[in-house]
Amino acid sequence: MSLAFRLSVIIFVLILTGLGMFWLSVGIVGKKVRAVPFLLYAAFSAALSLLSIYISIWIVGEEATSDWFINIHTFLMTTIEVAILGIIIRKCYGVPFLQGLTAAMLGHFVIYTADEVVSQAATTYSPLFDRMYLYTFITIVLPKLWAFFVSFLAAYVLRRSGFYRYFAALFFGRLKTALTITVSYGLMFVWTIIDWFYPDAEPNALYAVFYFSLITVILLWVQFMAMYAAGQEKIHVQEETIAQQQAHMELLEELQQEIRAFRHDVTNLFSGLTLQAQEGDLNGIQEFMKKTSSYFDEKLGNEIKQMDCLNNVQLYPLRSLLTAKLAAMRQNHIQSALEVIHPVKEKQLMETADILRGLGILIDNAIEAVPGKDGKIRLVMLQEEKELYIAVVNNYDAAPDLNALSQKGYTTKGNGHGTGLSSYRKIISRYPGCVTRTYLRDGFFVQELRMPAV
Amino acid sequence: MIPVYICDDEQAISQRLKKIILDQIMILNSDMGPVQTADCPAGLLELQQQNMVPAIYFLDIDFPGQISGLELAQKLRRYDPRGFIVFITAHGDLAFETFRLRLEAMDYIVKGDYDAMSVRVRDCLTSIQDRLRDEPSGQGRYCTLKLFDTIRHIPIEDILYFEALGYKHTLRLHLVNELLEFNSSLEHFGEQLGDGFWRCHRGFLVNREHIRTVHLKEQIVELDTGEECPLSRKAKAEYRAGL
Repeated sequence: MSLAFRLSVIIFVLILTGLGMFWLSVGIVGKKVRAVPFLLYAAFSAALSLLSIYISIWIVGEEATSDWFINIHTFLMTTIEVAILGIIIRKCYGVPFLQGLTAAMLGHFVIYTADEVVSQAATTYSPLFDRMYLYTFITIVLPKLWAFFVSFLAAYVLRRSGFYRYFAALFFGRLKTALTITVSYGLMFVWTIIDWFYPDAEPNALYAVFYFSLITVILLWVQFMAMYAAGQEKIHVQEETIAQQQAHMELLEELQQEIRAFRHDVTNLFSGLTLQAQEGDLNGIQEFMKKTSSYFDEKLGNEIKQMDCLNNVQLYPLRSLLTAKLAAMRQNHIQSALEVIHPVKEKQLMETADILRGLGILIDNAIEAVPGKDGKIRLVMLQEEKELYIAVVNNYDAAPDLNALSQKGYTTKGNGHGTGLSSYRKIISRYPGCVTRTYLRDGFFVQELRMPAV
Repeated sequence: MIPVYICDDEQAISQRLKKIILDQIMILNSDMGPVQTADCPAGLLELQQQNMVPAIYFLDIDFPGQISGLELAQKLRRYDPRGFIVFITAHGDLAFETFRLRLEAMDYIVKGDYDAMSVRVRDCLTSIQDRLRDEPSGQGRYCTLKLFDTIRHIPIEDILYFEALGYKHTLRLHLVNELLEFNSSLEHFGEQLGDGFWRCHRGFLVNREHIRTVHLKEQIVELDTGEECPLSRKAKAEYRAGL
């Protein structure tokens, strides 16, 4: 065979494997394939493959072929490769690294298995050709094409079915994340491991069937696990919503009680006023008016204002969150004020879950930071044409150190409290165009978030 | 002279307020004035363009059938980011926190009897006078920052350093008592700000005014606030060559 032919086969194989792997991994995390990240990955993976081949020749050439060396070598190179893909997905698509990594590992598993099975079968079943070209085509090019086709199809199906929503649910909580990654890592090497234990397995039709059912079962299992996790998450969210709606109901009941008391007061006051009017006591009436003009505002103004503001939040889950947090503030005897003067639209740039988590963190931090006595928290939301403006304002005992605040895990309240802000940052960083501002003014700590309107 | 504007659709209110303001300016012996009134937002926007900034604005909240006080203030801010805005309201229950945070409004005055309004106006004017004295107008240089529709002018001396967060071109701007994160690039600000700033590291652009010490050995740039920025090898060589 000519060198040109060999080279072109190698390049073809590298590109096809790279593209398939990239396509499938990106499909798992629910993104569209873009040229730049792919080329980046292709460059890295080609370099890595060449390095790998070089190392193999260099060492294996010295010391015959030893199984343990090949296995460790495979482990290492594959790990590096999926790690690189994970990093690229993180950088270019903004998907969390661990998710990208897992996607890459699963992608690798599917492609490697598809390729390996077909190429083994082809090697076994194809008659011995004199023509090396055809032989190469059948045993190398065909399996790669097949693997690419499988990955392409899988990526398409996964993206169309919105698999990513379930996939992301596999990463809620540390334990789930660890389990997902361990299983995916194991899957990636299942072939190598089996090969290790049963080196003499005969590749035949049965063998191929076994592996394809393995892929199918595993994919179904992953899908099932993901859906299960997502279902659990959904139940959890619903429970939270119910709790928040209960808080809302309680607020309404409280308001009703106050209105009843107010009605009682007003009746009494007016009977006094009628008496004065009958007697023609104009000065007395004026005095009375002066005293009672602010009475209504004091009594009910705040509650009604707060209700109006809450009603302006058209994003229902957000309204529930605000109600629940306002109730928590009342319980802690924190003086709270909510201002939402324009309706906050239902459709926002950030996903609702992320808005709830982000704002929840800010408000919880504010509740923790206010002084024990005379705590004050103000929440402001302002929907404008081009942006949604959100601010959480609180007073404090000791002024927070803003520089330390920008570091990971900052807290004034001892261990275990500081994780909120860094996850807040993580959430925001996924949405380009958002602006956050943190500052101190007139004894208040202000956290602002501005997100582009959609 | 700092112009003062009153914008209210009720003639009686604006005339009364004008008298109060003129009286208080006289008592304070301040260089504010002339005091002009406009009965609609459009009129005020026109007046504003004819005079200098910063100015002082007393604005009604509601103009039935026209733009709201909030929108008016936003339009005014576009031309006069450092002006002083005070709202006039018929009832005490306005959402002042929104106005204060969003527009840096100073205060609000409740329409009512003459004496109560006088006290409030005097407080406002006094604090404006104090602020003007503390920051001499137009002296320092500013860094302009456009975020969405608003333009902010940040005094150069308030800037400590810019930090690139290494993800999707997000910058974290460290100011005195403030942190600001937004999408932009260090190159952009390096060009805008020129020699007063030093790229001490690939991801850091630091204000020279705030550098206390450069620790060559530890590869750290220490600021006068005690904060530290890393020093890259390239910048170190640059620094050595410059000495």
